[in-house]
Amino acid sequence: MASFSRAASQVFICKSNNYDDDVETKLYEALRVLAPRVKEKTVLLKPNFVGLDSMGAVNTHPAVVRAAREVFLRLGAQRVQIGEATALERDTEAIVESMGLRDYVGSLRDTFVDLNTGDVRCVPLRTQASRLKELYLPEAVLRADFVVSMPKLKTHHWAGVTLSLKNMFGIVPGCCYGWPKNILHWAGITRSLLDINSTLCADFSIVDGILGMEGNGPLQGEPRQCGVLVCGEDPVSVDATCSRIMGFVPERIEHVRRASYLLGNLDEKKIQQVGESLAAVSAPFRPPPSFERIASARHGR
Amino acid sequence: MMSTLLDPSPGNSRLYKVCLRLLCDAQNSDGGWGGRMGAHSAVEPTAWALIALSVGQQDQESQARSERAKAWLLSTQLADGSWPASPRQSKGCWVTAPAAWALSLHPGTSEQWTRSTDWFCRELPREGSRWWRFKRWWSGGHPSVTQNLALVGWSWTPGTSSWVEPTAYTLLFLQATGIADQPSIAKRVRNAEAMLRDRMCPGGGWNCGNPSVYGVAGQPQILTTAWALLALRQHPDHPVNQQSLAWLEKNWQKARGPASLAITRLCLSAYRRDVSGIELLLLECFETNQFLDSVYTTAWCALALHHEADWLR
Repeated sequence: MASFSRAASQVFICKSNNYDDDVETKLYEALRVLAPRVKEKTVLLKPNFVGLDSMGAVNTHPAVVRAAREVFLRLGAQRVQIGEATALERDTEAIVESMGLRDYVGSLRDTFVDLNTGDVRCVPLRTQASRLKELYLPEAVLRADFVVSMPKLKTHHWAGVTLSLKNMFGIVPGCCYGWPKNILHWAGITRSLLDINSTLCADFSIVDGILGMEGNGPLQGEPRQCGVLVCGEDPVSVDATCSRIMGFVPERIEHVRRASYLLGNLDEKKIQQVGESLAAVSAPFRPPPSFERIASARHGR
Repeated sequence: MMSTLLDPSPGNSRLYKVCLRLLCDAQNSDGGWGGRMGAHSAVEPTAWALIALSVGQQDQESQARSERAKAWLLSTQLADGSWPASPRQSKGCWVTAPAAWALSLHPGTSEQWTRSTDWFCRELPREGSRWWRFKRWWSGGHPSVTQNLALVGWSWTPGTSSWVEPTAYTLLFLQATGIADQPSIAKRVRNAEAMLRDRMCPGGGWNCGNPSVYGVAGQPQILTTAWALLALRQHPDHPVNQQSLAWLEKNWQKARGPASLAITRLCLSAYRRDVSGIELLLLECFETNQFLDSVYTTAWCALALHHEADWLR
């Protein structure tokens, strides 16, 4: 739908100072307002699990994943699974065990799908922003009725930020493209992000912004306490809102700006903020090297 | 269950036998294996499972299963000698190394696996090409990375960059078959070994292939370090090997994943280092998550626990 004729998007911001807070209650309040249609659907949560994370600032925190799982079940989802195709490390089990995911969600064999190892299907890409034309994607994602992108609030040294849209890189399976999925970098990060998201757009996004990462993210930056959870149906609006919280100008982040032509609202006037105001949660992040241009003058650190 | 799988008697442990049994049960009717138990057949899991069966016990059942796996692999080889990750794909990639390696363990397949050697010779990561390096130089280079692009290994996907693991798999195959010493490829092998050394993280060990980004040292990973050390094991006294081996010995206990533990055991065995304690941790992993039904992990674990764990040496 053309951006000028698109209805406004709702984005819910809630404060949550740490992972011991009652994240589930807060998320439930947010999702009751946003009312995602998940009744009797199979839901796939796609968190951002990257690697060993001694600072707790790299991976989506398992407390948020558990809370999302419980909330979608409370809202009537038939089944909620967690799926990730880790990008830099083949030993997925090492990553999820090091995070303690099992302590939060129970048996991993029942709840977690390693998207790097299952069946895949060739999917023609709906747009031709890159020269990829098609990608093999996991059946576990293609068969899910409702996909939820659950990124961490982080900067990214090649994309500016890594949020709901960038997190969808993580559905591309290592078993076909390796660790990392270098073909996507060669096809252009922005371009392949557009192709992936236009082909398989997340139905909902929940951003773990309780503890984020600034500077040389997504792995080597510094932890940044932000104390927010941000959610909504429109991934562009969610990413634009998160960027504004981080003190960045989303129009200057290429993949977010270009995604707004196709996939969602970027303009603040077309985003209906619910819950906390932007000003109440604003926490300027240090941009990654070579991305100083994305910082808002108001928030220059 | 743990107590029944811990076997103090000499020879193969019961966990090893469980892994082989799981592999046998997971073989698809077409002869291949999927990445996960029950998934459709794909080249790489089939290759690792076939290697595990070939190195392991040679009873009648294993031999019959190996024959079917061999036939499936032969049927999926592409005309240029390479293998695709999924049999429906039309371009070869890194899985060519384990596939060719698996076939090389079986008589009567030399024509097929030697054909892959030509592909390895031709397959040059694009970032290593003179034109690409000229473009990088002309544009002032990339401030984020420091590696020497003149040193090339092999890519995950053809036409992209060199990475540590596909380079390690290819070197292991070329070494295992003796092809690495042939004049037509020996120079390329030396270059790939130099590329691995160049990509070592400061302080030892490897991650996927970014030793430093924007001046910040990359964090090594246990699994990748173990693969790289295996590929470089013919130079055990090289400072890079020594430094990385020291890093691995200091850090492997932190591994919480069976794939990392299994390849670490293979690696430390190849370097004649202490491997005690690793099998117990593998057992704990199996008891907890059953390796998340991963065929790769199960095959690597079987290879690591084979009673001649130094088969790779």
